[in-house]
Amino acid sequence: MDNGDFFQSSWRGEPRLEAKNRILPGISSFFLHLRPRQYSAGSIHFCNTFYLGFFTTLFLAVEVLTGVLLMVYYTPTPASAYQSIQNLALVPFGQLLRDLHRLAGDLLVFSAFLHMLRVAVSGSYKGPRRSTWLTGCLLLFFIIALAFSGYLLPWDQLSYWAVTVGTGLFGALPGIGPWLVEILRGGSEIGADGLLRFYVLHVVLIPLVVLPLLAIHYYRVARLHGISLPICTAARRDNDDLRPVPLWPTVVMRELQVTLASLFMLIAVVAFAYDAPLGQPANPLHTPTHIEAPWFFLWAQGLLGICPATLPALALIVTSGLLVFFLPWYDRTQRRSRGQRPLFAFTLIISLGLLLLLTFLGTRQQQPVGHSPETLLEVLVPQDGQGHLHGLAYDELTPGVHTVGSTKTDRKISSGLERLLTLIDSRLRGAADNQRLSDMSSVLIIETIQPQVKRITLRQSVHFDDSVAPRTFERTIYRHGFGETPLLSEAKNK
Amino acid sequence: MEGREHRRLTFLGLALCCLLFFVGQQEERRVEATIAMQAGEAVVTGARLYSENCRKCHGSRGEGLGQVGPALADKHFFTGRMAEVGWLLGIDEYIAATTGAGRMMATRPLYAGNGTTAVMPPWALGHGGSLRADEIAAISGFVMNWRATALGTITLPVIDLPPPDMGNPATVKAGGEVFSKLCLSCHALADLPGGHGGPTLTGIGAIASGRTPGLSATEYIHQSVLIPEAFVVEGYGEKTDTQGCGALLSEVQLEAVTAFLLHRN
Repeated sequence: MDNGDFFQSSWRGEPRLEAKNRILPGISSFFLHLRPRQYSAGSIHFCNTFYLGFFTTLFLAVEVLTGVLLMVYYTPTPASAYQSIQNLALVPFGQLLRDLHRLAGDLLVFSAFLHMLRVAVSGSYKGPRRSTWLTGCLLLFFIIALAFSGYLLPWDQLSYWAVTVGTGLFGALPGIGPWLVEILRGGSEIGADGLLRFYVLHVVLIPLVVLPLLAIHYYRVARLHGISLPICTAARRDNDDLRPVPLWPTVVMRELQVTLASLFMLIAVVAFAYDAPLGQPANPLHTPTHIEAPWFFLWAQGLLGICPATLPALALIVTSGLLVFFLPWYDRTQRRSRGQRPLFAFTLIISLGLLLLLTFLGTRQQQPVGHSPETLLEVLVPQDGQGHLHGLAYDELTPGVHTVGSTKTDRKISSGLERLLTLIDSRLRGAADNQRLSDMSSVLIIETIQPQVKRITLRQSVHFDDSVAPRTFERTIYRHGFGETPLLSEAKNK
Repeated sequence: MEGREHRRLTFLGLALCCLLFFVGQQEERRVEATIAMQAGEAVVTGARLYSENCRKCHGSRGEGLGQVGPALADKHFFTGRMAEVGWLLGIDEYIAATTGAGRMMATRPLYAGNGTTAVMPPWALGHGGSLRADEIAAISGFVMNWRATALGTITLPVIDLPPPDMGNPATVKAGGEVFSKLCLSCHALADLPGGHGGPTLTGIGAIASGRTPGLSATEYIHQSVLIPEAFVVEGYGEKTDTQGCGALLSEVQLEAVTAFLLHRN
């Protein structure tokens, strides 16, 4: 056996002479021959495809790599999950890994959506590519499922309640609804079983579906039909875009360049401008005032907000999904140019507009509405999350009793605090005008209760029209200056 | 053409390596800042939990409440408490262990006001309490953060909170509403019948000022709500069960109800 045979047999195993057991060679042959030897030159020109399919694959690869490393540190139990995420920040490059995983996950969903949109706009789903469109739709569905299942894993209030509400929606399905909710949650509410199920879905089951599906999708795109170029390019046969270019080195070289440039930008963003959110630890006994859906489900939150019941909203969502899924079967014309498909263009614009509108409505639902004293407190000092008082740096919180609307202060206050007091004053005036309240006053008390710890109390006193005694509303938060200012910078009495 | 592509690839690879090297250089500082930030977040969480669960016995500034709970922001707590209870490990472990598991026996003959000796209840979920391990750790971190001020190495500025206006009719009215809602089931007034178990408070505004030497009327009422057994009206020795009042009332409500009672002279 010469060296070549030795390495070949190490890689491929012994040659199989008999007809049976051919499935493994078949699968390995599929993966080994996934990529064609030649591509059209147009497929590596950015303006033709915007590399959206490539970016989707790249972000998925980043997800897999960072996800495997994160699995080393993550413990999927309610008692340890949050702590393990916190501890990750103490590992060198740990926070970078988590930020990369989160940002690449969001970009994965976004790029997959844009990729589908480009395919729809360019009419590339037509004719022989109908099945490819189906695999793409399935991929988008599973990518969203991947993102949603991973959303719970940090085990903070935001994720816990978003997933609780999200899974609760299935309960509206007739017949199987309650059963499905219990299967997903591992009980009537999400606990250790539910977290473990979401973890297994996120790291094993969904990737086991997504990765082969991606291979099939890519095989159909690149090898079976070729990457679909915009109609204007494809129509001009003499165009340079149709010239064949070899996989090696031309295509691979371009892919490496795009990969390196993308990784550079991704790492630069997470290192200097992005922090994966982590709220308070999940508390099943405390429902937050406002539950936020993940950004890619804000449209669903908006839809549920305007629908009178959950079931019609779910029916609408499923119907829309099926309409997208079977698009090539009812749009059977071979015309791909946008100008020749006015009805499609009109429907697409209306659908996108609706999607944006519902997303906007979903965002609005997370904000407190109204002008009552309770709402004002919720805006300025929210029970969960961060409000205006969190926007000030620790040093800007000048200790003292600050009466809102009064220019008389016994000591100099920071400019940030002055702006905040002005803001509270303007909100108070607006609320008083809207609610016909008289004598609405507010005081902000900032005390240093410990080294580097301040207690901030916003107290509102309101005279309602029908009562003699004022009613007092107050909320207290604590802020710390750890890591911001040296410990001994507190005023010392000498 | 191919050479240009190679040069571009090399440049991008080098740029990525430089970025990773730069990020790596910052990692040590970032980890230090994260440790400080997480400690701060834990202290802030501890402050909130302390206010919700511990303040009623140990005081909002850890000053202790008479016979109910010992002072925590106190030099003795950080220097002498461990010897007092025979604790051999560190003070931080003592705080965490006591907060989590409680103390089955009081170390001093304190009277809790409900016929039992004041003991520290367990707060950890595993011991029958309601707090998770991270919350116990947060409370411990918050109490430990009093060490510098307790030992006198740092003195914090004290702000002058405006004294409550006890004569304000609106405050008195609000206090009356609080009294009717929370106190009337035990204490009666001349024009407000009701009350079972507690002494009548008719004319308390006049009585309070001279009842305990050294205490003003306001201070006496505060003390009676927070530490009811500090002064027990004759005939009510076995019935003092007002420990819960301190827990029920917010600071604003306490001031309002005090104003209301002072007004009843």
